[in-house]
Amino acid sequence: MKLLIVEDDSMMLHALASGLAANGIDNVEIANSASLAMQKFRSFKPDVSLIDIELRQGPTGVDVSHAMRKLNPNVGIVFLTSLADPRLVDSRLPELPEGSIYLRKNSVKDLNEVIDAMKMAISGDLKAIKSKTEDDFLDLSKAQFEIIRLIAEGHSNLEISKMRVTTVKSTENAISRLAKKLGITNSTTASQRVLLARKYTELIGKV
Amino acid sequence: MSKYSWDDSNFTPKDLRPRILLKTWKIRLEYFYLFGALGAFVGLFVEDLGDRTTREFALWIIAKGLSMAGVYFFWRFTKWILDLRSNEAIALWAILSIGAAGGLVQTLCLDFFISLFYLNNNADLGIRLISNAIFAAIWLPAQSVTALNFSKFRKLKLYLREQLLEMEVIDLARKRLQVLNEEIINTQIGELISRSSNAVNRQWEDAVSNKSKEKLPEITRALATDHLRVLAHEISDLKTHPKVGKHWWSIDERLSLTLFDAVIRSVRTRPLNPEWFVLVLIGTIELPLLRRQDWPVSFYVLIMFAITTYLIHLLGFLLFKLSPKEAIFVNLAVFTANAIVPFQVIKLFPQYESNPRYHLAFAIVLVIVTLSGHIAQAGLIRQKDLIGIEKETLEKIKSENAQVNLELARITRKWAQHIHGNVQSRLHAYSLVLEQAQLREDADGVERAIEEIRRTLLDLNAEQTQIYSESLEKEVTAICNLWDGIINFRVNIDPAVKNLIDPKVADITKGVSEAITNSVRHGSAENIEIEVSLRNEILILKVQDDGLGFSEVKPGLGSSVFETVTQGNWNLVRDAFNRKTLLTLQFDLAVPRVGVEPTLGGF
Repeated sequence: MKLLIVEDDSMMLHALASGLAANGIDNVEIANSASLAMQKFRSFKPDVSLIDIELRQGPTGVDVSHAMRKLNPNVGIVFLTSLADPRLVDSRLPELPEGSIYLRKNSVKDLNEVIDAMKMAISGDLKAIKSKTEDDFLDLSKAQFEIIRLIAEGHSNLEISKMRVTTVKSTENAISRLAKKLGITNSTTASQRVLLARKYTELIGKV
Repeated sequence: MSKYSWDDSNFTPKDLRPRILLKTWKIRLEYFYLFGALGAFVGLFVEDLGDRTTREFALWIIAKGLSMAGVYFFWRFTKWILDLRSNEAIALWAILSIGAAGGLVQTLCLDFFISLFYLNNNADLGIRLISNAIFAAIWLPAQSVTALNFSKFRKLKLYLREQLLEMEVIDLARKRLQVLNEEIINTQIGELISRSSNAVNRQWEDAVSNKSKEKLPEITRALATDHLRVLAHEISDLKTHPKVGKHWWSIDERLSLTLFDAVIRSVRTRPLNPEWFVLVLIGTIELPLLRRQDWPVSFYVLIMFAITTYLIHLLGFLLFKLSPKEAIFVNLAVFTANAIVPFQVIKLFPQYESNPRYHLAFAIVLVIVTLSGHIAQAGLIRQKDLIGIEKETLEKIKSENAQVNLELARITRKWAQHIHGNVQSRLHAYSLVLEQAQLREDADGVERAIEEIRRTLLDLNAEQTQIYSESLEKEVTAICNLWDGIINFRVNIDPAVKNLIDPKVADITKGVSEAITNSVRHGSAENIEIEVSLRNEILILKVQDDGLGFSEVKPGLGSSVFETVTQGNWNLVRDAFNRKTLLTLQFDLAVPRVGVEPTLGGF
């Protein structure tokens, strides 16, 4: 199995590569940025790519995966990420490529799970892939993904309204609907904003 | 924005919120009749019922009850209309009519029964009617003037209080952010970093002097992964400084600000309301009184009433100056006037009217009952307002505190990322360089790498590298490099702006970045052409791709980025036939960049 790992955290990248090598997968190339990943993809021609979604600035892992599929429609794609939902990074992200597997870092118990997922992704067995992938994504609208991210980035309602070209009132309403949807109720001890920001960090797997 | 507006020079009845006005009047009318009736009953029970039959007494009660019910339903009806129209002018008119109607209904009912059953009453029906109407005509405008003054005070107070608190809160928020930046960042984060920096430096120098150089790359990596990782974690775990989390001031303290009191006192006008006091006084001198023969008794009642009213006024004024409890006493003065009506009632029974003792008892009971009721009521209204404002203020403080916490989280995250990301990867990279140099047996290279590592370790708390600080060409190239391989680029930058270093470069690069993201994600483009040119101080950025452009023209984050960075000077043309999309952004370099000040969210 020829594997390309795309991960921006160098620690994680090395840990993954050496862990997989210890498990017999040693035909591995690594890349810590989107452009390097595409370069390696062209020269190395992997059977499967193990991709992190957050790649710091610029393109995300989802963008990379689509570009890879354009070059090789049969390449297996496995996302390994801490995000509960890829749209938490950017609400405008395109759909994940068909037949890709979505694994959350905090629910993967050992590397064999990752290896199994990669094998399945190569097999192209859509039914099996469906059972493996953890795509029970959040039931939030595009606007709600956008709003929770902007809140966590510390923007005020006014700023959010400006960015989304809407009124402060409708932003306020959207926030309360969002809070309700995420089960955050008004509390006397904590601010709803802080709870939402905390929820966001929880969802992107930073807590 | 303040919920209450205030323009002292231009205060008209129209300016009154019907809600406030109605609240005041509603309670007033109801209390008025409640206490009036209560006072009348007490007065009647105090005196001997004498030769009055039960039937006569019952009829009197029915008459009084009917008049009260009439007023009440009329008032309800008007409120219903008011709520529909929500018009302040109508409100004032309606209040006046309610009062007038109240007076008339009462008079009509009473006189109807009296004329029906007590035809031998020495009062002439026509004169009684006229006298009541005149009284109502004088008394009601007086009430209205006071109500206006009262509302004016309340409105002004609420407005000032809110403004003051708003300023306080914002000012405090700024101060706290300042403290946060200066104290916390410079002390907490700074201390952490320098402590850690000293430790790693010591270890590094020990390693360089004691251990074999072959082990240095490994030691570098160990320092980077162990120490810096721990440091990054420590930074990101930093909790808000206890000083920031606390409210440094209590709201109660601020509510009784000396400044606030001074403002209130300076704008306070005519606390005695002499004009309506005089009106009320005139109102009590009515036709039946002049017509009657028992002048000494009537004068006694009138003078006693005037004195009582004036004493209450005076008391109110004195207390007014002593404490900011104006509302209670402005209101109080109004309600003393209510005592007049039961006097009117007793006058309907001339056989009792001539006995001054009953009047005295009557007056005392009325004054006590009415005043206690109204003081409590005015106090309640005021308290309700204050509670509302305090609640709002607390909400603001809470949200401002949340902002401070978010700010701290953002700063610590930035630092943690800097340490964990930039510094760590730099060390990893140098350790590899060192390893390579050792393999090549390049002594100079080894020394250089050791020096670089040393410098990096000493430089832990150096300012973070700015993302956009380079010339335009470098910036645009850097962004294209990020997307290299995903999409093909052709970049053409006018030599005149290639080396442009301008605050607007950040806007331009933001635009480029957004354009590329859109081309890739929504237009599924494969090739993109970026052209930057300059014409009359206007920088034109053209981004053309072979995709479909935006899938939607709905305003959203993407288009709002273009809107913000170009101040609205952008457009998008789609050529579906040739499968081409051209995005043009224009930046006026002559106009300084509009900085978006970080706002204190939630306000």
